[in-house]
Amino acid sequence: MEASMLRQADPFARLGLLRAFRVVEGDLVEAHRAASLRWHPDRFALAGEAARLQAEDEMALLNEAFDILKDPIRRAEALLTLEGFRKSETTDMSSSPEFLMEMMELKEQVAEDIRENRQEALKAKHQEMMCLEWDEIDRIKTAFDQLEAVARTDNDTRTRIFRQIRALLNQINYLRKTREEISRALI
Amino acid sequence: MTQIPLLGIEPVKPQAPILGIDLGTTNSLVAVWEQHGPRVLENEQGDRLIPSVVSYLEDGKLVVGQAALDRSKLEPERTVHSAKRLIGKGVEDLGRELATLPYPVEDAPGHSLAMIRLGDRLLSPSEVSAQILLETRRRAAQALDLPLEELNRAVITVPAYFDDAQRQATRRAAEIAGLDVLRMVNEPTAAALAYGLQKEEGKKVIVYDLGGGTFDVSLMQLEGGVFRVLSTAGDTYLGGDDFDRFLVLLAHQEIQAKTGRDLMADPASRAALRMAAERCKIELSKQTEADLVYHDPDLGIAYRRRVDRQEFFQGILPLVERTLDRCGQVLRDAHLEAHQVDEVVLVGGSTRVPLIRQAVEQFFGRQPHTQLNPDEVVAMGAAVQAGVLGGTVGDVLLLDVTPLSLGIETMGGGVEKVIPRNSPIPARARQEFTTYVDGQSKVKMHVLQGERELAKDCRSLGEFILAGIPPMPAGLPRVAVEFTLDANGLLRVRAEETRSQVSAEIQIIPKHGLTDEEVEQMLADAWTHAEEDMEARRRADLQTELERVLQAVDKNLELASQQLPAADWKRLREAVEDAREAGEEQDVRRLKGIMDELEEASYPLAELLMNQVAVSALENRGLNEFQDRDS
Ligand SMILES: Nc1ncnc2c1ncn2[C@@H]1O[C@H](COP(=O)(O)OP(=O)(O)OP(=O)(O)O)[C@@H](O)[C@H]1O
Ligand SMILES: [Mg+2]
Repeated sequence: MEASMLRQADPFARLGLLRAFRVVEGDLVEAHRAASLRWHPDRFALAGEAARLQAEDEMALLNEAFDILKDPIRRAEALLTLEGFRKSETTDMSSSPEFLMEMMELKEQVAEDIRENRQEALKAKHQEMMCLEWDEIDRIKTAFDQLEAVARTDNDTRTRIFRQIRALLNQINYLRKTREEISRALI
Repeated sequence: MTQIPLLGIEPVKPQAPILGIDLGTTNSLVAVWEQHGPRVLENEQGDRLIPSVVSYLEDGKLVVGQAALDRSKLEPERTVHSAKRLIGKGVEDLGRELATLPYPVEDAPGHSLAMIRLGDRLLSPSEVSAQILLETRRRAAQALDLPLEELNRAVITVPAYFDDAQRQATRRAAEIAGLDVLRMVNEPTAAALAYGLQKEEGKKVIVYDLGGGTFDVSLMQLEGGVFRVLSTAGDTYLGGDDFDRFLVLLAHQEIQAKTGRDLMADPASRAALRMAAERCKIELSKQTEADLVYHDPDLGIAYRRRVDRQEFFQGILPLVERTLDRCGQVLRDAHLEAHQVDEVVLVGGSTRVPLIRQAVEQFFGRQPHTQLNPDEVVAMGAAVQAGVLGGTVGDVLLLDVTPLSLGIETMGGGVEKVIPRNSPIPARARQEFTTYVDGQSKVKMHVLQGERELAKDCRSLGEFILAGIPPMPAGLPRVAVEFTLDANGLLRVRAEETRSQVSAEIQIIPKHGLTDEEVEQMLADAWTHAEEDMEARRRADLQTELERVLQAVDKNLELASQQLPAADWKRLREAVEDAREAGEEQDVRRLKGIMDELEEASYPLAELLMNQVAVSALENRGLNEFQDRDS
């Protein structure tokens, strides 16, 4: 593995992994472990200031890639960017009205639970949000699977799927924000 | 696992070993990596712990370690202990800690940086810690028979939960002590290294580290030689010192009720009371009951009080529960449940308290590891890491995380996180910000650390200003802020307006830090004031102390011979004889033994005296009342 690999924008490439949404967690951890053994600054402790600083830099890139790929949402975002699907193309793409309604209701309940400091209810909601998040992630997984079956030249279908993924990501971000709010209220 | 070759190292003549130093709140140790494992270094008497205490004498000299701890009885207000609790803090951060210190603390002029006032000297906690680090170097030089100058490289451990300011200040301490810090390692991670758990492929390990002043808990995963920290939490204000405080307050209140004396008002009594409390606490780790004994022949106070485990445990329970809350937090952060943890390791002197062992065992549902000496395991781990950095330990690597989130204050007092907690380090992250007023030419960057939503609730690390932005409408400038955390957990911040390429950077956080000039001055000072012969100083101190107790006993010898039970009288007489002959005693250990025996043997006499005082007080009152009625 060459140091130049670590300088690539593609986090998959930095870790020497295949570019795909489905990543086996064990593979990811193993790739990061093997690369760390090679690039970590501890390996360059006595190699002089310049080599050490470079190692700090390279290890930070490696860790960044690891952080991105570990998180399905950041992983999906990275894939969209790599496929050249820019954020701005999605501004008109919003979530379904049903989802928004559901969220509004949930948010109100959460706000009330927080006001009344109902710890048990909040814990349950936290759990519920996690489940909802996983459901959405499954949907994203399916969408990426579909994408792979589509010919690279079929731009219309690809764009449609990208938009669908973008919409799902928006929903997850929404769920996450609410979940973070709950987790701050949990002691 | 094959050894990974180290790149770019020229073969050079064998260098002096890299020191592995555990700079503790109460005790410090130094260890080195030798062929087959870490070795904790001892002095000629076989002592391994160096009390983290420095005593600044009237004549400008200073003593460190055991000699200083002994001194704290004679001159508590010139003796600094637990400096680690102050390091990297401002006075405003200290809160209730302030009241328990025997010396005044004030902010350094122009900084938010707590300094210790000793007479006309103002000492920074970094300076004090530097003296302890210097002592570890001396210890190593003596034990390894190498020149002090050659032992100038070290791995130093810090609590995992230390924030950036505390890490920076520790780094400064090392600089003042003339040490090149090759790596700062988190204490719990170091402990895991010492246990050599790397063979436990795939396992998840909890390290629970409760020392004198700090608590850390880390969860890590072992992957063929790699220690991957998954999450960490802690409290830099929770430790054995706080257990002592419970007993100190207990004794203080009872003594005050009985004698009317406020021992907390006098630094010397307070120091003695603290030692008595610690002795009782340690006793309670071995037995179910122990005596809390405080005895001062000068003041005529003889206090002895039986404390049983239940009472002690009740008193420290809230603290223990706080540590368990943090254990819950590391599990939540790693999305794990307690039963998924494979191994639990206990580290730190305070984990000898049986309640702690029970509580931790119950929480994780498994028996914790305690094979290694909990006082020494962190230093041993530091030595392993020294071996890793030196290239002699090839099959081990630590992948640590940052304990606290780092961010920037946003409009309206909120915090935008740039690097979330538990991110693997080294880390780098960028975030874009913009202006909110048309034509704004400057932006203020307020760097924060912590988990709270509002800037005012987080730890402020420092501020800097990015100036010279060309006039643009609000929202148009693109201010990219880049945070870089190195493998030591130290932060550097850079900001750049990307349209105009104006940039600014902070490396040393000014708010809680020392300036380079200050460090240089302290560096010069540090080397000039150490007492040449601390043993001699300790001997002299012990003799002074012995003299003091002897005088107090001598005054009442006749009473003792008449009223003490025969056995007590015999013991006291022998102790006094030994003490009288000790004038020539050169061996400090024996001298200390004589001193302890005299104190112990004179206790019944003190008790007798106190009862007498009480009786005569009563008699006096009787007389008064009689006279009152008469007149
Ligand atoms: N047998 C014992 N029972 C109870 N407490 C003990 C026992 N032995 C030591 N201690 C306590 O352990 C503490 C010191 O532990 P240790 O040396 O691990 O701390 P440290 O490394 O100096 O502190 P820190 O890690 O917090 O900076 C002291 O509070 C001491 O009283
Ligand atoms: Mg410790």
